[in-house]
Amino acid sequence: MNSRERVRLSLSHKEPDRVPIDWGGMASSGAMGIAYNQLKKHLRINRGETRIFDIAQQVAEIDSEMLQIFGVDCVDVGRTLPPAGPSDLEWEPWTLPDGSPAEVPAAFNALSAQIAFPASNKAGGKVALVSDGHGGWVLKEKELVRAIMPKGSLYFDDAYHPLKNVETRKEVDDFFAGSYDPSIGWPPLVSKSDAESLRIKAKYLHDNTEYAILAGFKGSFLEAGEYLMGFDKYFSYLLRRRDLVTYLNEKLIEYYKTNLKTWLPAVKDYVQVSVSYDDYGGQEGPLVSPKLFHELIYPYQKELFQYVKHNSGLFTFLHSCGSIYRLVPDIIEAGIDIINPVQISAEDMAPKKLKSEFGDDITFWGGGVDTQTVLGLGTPEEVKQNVRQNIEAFAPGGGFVFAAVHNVQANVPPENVVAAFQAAHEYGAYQTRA
Amino acid sequence: MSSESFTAEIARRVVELDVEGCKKACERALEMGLPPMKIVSDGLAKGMQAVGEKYVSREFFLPELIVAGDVFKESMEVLKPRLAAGDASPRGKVVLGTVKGDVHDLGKNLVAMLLTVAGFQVIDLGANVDSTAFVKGIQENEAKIVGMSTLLSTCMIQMEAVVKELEKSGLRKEVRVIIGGPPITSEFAQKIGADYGALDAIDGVNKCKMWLPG
Repeated sequence: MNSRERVRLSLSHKEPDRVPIDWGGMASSGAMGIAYNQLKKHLRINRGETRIFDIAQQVAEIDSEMLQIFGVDCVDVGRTLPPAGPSDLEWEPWTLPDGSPAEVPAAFNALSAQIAFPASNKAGGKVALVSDGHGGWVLKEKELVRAIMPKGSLYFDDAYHPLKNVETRKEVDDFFAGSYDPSIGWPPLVSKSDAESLRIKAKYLHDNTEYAILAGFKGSFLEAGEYLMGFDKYFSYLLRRRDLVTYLNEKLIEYYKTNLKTWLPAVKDYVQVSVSYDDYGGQEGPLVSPKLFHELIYPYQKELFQYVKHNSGLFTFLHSCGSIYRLVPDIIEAGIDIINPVQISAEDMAPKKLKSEFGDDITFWGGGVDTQTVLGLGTPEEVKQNVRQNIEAFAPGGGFVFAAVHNVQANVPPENVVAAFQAAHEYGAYQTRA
Repeated sequence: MSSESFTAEIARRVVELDVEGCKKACERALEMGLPPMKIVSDGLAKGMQAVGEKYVSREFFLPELIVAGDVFKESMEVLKPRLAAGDASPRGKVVLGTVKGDVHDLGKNLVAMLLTVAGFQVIDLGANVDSTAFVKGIQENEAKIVGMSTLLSTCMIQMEAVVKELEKSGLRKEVRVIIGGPPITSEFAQKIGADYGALDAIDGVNKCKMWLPG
């Protein structure tokens, strides 16, 4: 059974030969560059690049040798390292916060919520990665500081919120009128030439590998609002200016669907999973009340995901951190097939509870090992046992793809990474599981 | 209308998240001669306490907490000109900060607001604060409590660094250490020698109130 078939079966709620494994198939199932370098050193691998494709989260592409060592089944259509085809992105050397070497894109284009899109060439990039003069880094568009990573920090955080002073619909209109320019918009609108490049990449991976292929598109509402207005203002306005937030959502869904009209035809014949990112949960529950979610977010998520479903055969995948148990019924109703990262250490997110209540209707992509405590702070044996327990809960009947709960963070000992994936294979075989 | 009716209405407006209504109720209470501190303690603070209880019982969520903060802040702007220096008798001083390597401050800012409502004097060091700055803040302000926040499991280790710095400087026995944030557990708090790992903002503030009853 090849990887693509394995993943397809599980997403169809059937049991393949073993639990499929994802490491790096999307931006929140991989590894930070620091952890990746430590792992390579532990395995005595001193070849291959550590390519930071997601500058905000400092996440590295998993190279082909590591994909094979760890028996990974999934890849991201946007990957630039083999087994992807040729890429025209330019890269330049960089040093990670722990002093270890990496590569970063030579230039970036517009930032969406905490994600900087690499420019296709340095000359075309509008946003540059520069030192802040105090041991940290900033992402700057001329004099505008868009994101910061101060000395001692491990991630970039947004420093610019384009709608932080918004009070009127006209200001929202003006923002989106400007944003429809593919070179400055957020996210960059996929132009016809971009779509053709993406189609070639997707076809290459489809025809030349047996991996399940994931493709991410922009479709957030809560995260988009947080980025555009700033967290405090947006969360206040969810209640105090619901009219404005509703109007913003109307503009967002129009923008996203415009993008999908170009993006979806380019990928739908070659990828298997379409991925959208938002964050609805905190440690103890949803960030907003289920009532507010149902009224203000769910209708737009439903419109977005139903559009994807009706215009492609792709599985739909929602990334949302945190405790989202109380929102899962709406998430299922919206047409979402998969949830990730399944933050099992958050309130109401215990694996058995999730599987028993929602296992027939949704696939759990993640939840394989607890990253808040066990993976970073436990022993390799504790990691293995955590993986075993989670597989026992999630795997029956399919509908489960093993991934850590979010990216492997910089503090994770390499022995624990090895233990997690070893356990995923050891306990993931369907026919021999107890 | 009795003074209790005025303060009860103010508390109700806080719980109803009615920014303008609460401001107007504060103005009416001032016009009727209620002492500003009574409006704060029996009106605004009582209302915020009820908001906290609704958050703990999962009836309120982050947007409600933030808007309650808006209600409090904007109502305080109405009262501030009438509050005399010395009206407030703080329970004690709390130094707050998000630890080194972490720039997230929403949780810390919520705690700062709730502590202020509860009568503490808050010295907010901001975000990305190293252990030296925490100790300096405690020394300079003679704070009795230090609160550290982080969103990131990779930055939790910085909290231990602050505890060690407090021990090194001989201050550890003089100050209570409370930590909070999504990755924080009571086991971790115990492991690093902190006095308490808060479950959430409300729990943290309640603990501070226990330590310094006022």
